[in-house]
Amino acid sequence: MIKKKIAMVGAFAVGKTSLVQRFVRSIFSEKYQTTIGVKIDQKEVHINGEDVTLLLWDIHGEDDFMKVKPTYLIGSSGYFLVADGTRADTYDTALKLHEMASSVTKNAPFILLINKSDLQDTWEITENQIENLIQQDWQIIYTSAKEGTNVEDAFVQLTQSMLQNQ
Amino acid sequence: MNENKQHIESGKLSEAQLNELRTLITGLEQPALHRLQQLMTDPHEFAVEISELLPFSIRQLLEKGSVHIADLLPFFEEMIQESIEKNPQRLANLLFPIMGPAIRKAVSEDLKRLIESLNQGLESGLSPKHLKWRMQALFSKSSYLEIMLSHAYLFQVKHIFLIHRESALLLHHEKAEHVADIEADMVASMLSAIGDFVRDSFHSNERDGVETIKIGETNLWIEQGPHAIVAAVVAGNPPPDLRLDLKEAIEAVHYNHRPDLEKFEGETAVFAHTSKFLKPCLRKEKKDQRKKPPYFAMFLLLLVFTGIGYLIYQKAQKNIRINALTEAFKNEHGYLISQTEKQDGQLWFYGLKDELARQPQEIMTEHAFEADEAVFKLKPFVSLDSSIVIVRANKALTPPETVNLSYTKGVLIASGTCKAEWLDLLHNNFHKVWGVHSLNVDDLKIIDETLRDLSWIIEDIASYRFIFDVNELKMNDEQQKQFSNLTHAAALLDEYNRTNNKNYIIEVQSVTTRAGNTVANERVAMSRAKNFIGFLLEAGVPAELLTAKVIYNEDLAKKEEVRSVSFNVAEK
Repeated sequence: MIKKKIAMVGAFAVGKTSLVQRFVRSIFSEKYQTTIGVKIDQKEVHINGEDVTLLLWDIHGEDDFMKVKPTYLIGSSGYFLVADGTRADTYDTALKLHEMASSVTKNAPFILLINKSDLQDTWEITENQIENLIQQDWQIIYTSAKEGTNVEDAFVQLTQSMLQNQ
Repeated sequence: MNENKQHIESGKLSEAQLNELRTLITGLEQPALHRLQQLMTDPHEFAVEISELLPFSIRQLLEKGSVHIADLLPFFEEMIQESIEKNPQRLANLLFPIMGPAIRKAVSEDLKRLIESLNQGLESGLSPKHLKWRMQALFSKSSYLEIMLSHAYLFQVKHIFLIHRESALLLHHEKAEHVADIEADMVASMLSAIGDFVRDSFHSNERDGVETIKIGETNLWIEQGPHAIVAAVVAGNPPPDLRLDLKEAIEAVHYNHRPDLEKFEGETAVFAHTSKFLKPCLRKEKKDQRKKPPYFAMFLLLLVFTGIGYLIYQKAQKNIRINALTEAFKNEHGYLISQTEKQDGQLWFYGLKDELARQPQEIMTEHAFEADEAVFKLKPFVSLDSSIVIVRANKALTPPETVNLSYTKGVLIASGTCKAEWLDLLHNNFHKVWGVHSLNVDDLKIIDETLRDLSWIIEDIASYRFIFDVNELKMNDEQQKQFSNLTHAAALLDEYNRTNNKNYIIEVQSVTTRAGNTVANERVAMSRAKNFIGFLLEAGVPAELLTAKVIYNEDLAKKEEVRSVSFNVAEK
């Protein structure tokens, strides 16, 4: 059995929790996020004939009052950066968090999830911004927590990247 | 030769000549010289060469005393110091497996002393709980500490988690039997997250970790290792030595899986073998629940047994009483019991009863029976039991009190005294008594009426006593009256003698003592008796009826009896 720790970071209210709510097994309530700043969920994926248990550290969204604790990312084999397509500032936050996460995880694989793809018409994050990141070999997936779009796929892709990175 | 000459002439030596010259100077052959040169020019090879010699050289130096250990110490101290300053964690990791046992040993000793000290302190505790424990210790003959701990320790280790320190991933999980499954992976990660949170929040040292979390009756004990931690979920109050078990477990894991821990990439299968280190931590220690003797059940049982025993006793007693009563009626004279039975709680007697026998109630009372406890269906009959025959004889013959009747084998035996008239009655009527066939009166004497009169006279004469003064024999008025009565009684005795042809006489007894001259005393006393006889003769009492006698008073306290004259009637 392979186990991997995945961190999920992003700005406040970008939909990190909603994004994974339907796809993971959870025993802890969200109050942990507001108390100790993180809650742990579990996700099983089956890749290349192998079962992988993902321990998903759903870290409290960064805002003016609460910063993401780098400690929570230590030991992560990969991480999701989550941004809200309808809020441009979440893009900046994601970039900033990436710097920290990349350093703490020693350049572990990551995927940028731009959430609320169902509201793409109202997105503030521009295609240029996205294109800019793609050119830097960022892996970006549009997701919708509301419709469940690409969520499962995001887990599979990140897991594959982590396994390749071993 | 010519060539050498040329070199010499030119002032130059050939290579061969130089080698020959080197050999002559150093005494070494060319290969040896070449090796020396190599050592001089190649530091690596020189170091290898020296490394082989150095330990031997140091030993030689130490043995010779040229170098002391104290001389070498600074080098090692500096080395260790520099190593610690450069990377303390490395040395800590190296020492981790051996430091634990050493520290534990030291701590164990201190802990032992601490517990002893604690014990002494607690022994002086006077709280009700401590007093109760003290009483228990006293009565169970256990040490006070043992009792205290038996109350304190009640625990079960329910889960043991082996968690990778960096990734917070669960490496292995063991749980106690009959303990519900939990989401071990998530719990382990959250546990690490809480540890991280505490560390971050309170700016603790990076290597520090949460050691204990207590929520109600649940304790979380965590033991940190360099690469992994062991966490135990314990219900109740675990003993301190559980901490040692956890330490040993984490040390064993590190000792056996250090490379796996250092290069951990998420593959946990290899840590399945840590089960043997973790399982010993799944301890449980219950209170010594020595089952209390089931006092209540025992009491109830005792009560039941007592009740049953009492009923049996009562029943037995009742039977004994009934048997005793039945036996009593069977043995009772005048009764012939043919059948007994119990009806409605009563005892029914059937048989025969002589009317002269005792009443049934009398016998029942003797055996502590109430009258209503028995019913008697008895028909009359004539009993020939000896006692009944005697009763019957007494009733029929009405013997005087001086006669005793007994009965044996049809013979009525009369003994004692009776008048001749009653004897005639007896002879005439004994055969009318049922059961009496013959009569035995051998021991029955006829009362002599005249003898009865003599008894009166004898008693009367013996009742007189005359006391005189010294050397005087003179009666006062009172004595004169008595004397008159005495002479009358003497006359009756004389008449009785003559009537019945008897020879009763009156002994005139003069009392004296043995004090002083006994012969003289006796003479005086005899003289007094004779003189008194003279008075009686003068009063008309026949001389043959009188005789003088001296009696010695042996009791000195009765002084008044001395010089007295008394009387006794005797057969001549």
